[in-house]
Amino acid sequence: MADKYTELLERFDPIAIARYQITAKDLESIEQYIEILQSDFAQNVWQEAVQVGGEYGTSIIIHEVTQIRALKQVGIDPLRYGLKDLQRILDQHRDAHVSALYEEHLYLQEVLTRKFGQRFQVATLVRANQLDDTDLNRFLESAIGIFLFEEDRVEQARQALERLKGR
Amino acid sequence: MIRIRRLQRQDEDGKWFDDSYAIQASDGKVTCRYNLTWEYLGGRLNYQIQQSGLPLEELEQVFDNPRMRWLPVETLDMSFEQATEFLDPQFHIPRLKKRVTLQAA
Repeated sequence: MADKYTELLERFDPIAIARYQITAKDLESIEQYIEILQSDFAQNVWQEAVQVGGEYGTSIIIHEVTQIRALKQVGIDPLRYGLKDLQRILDQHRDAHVSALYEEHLYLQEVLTRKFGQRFQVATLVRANQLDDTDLNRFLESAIGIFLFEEDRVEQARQALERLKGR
Repeated sequence: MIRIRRLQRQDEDGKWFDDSYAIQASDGKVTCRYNLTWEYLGGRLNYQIQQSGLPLEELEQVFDNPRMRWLPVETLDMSFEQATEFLDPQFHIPRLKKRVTLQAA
């Protein structure tokens, strides 16, 4: 099975894959993790990451790998739990989600600056990348740091992200 | 009085359990409150709900999944804030503590 994931690695940004030390085994873990969380969705986050690929797909992979690693750091292997347990665990360890949001959008910040010459604050990208403000609020209230949010640039950031997705 | 509608999913054994809920504010706006297993798909659901402008009773038109089910509308004798404070922990939805918004120069 590792061959499947080794091939899938090629769909993503090699610079980020190297920087975050993402392996074929990590991709396998992400697919299993998302299968637990979202097996009943028509299209889940893993399927979307693989389908989109490139830098945007990579940003999703960075989010998931960061979250899984953060949980493992506190002694939790999320692959050993079912959906109901993970609802509770993710609530109790919500910093794992916020760390994942941070790494995902820090990467997107760098990519958009490099590719399009447009630099947005991380919090602005968190809001632009979501269709509601739930994650932004979780992000802004976290203890990870103080973030600047450019409310008047959200639409501009959203357009840049759409461009990155090739839409 | 506040109106809500629970969304249930099935666990590994096929047993239904409460996963998230939609709540209607006094201005009529319906929002789904979801836990962290949804990731960004929760935001997508909220966008669809708000774009459709549909009431709680018709949420199946926005989100109909054979492995999930909407329960009938419930009425709670609470304010919006009281209801979310009461329900969010039951659904493992992280509560916001504060919000700090700074404008970049």
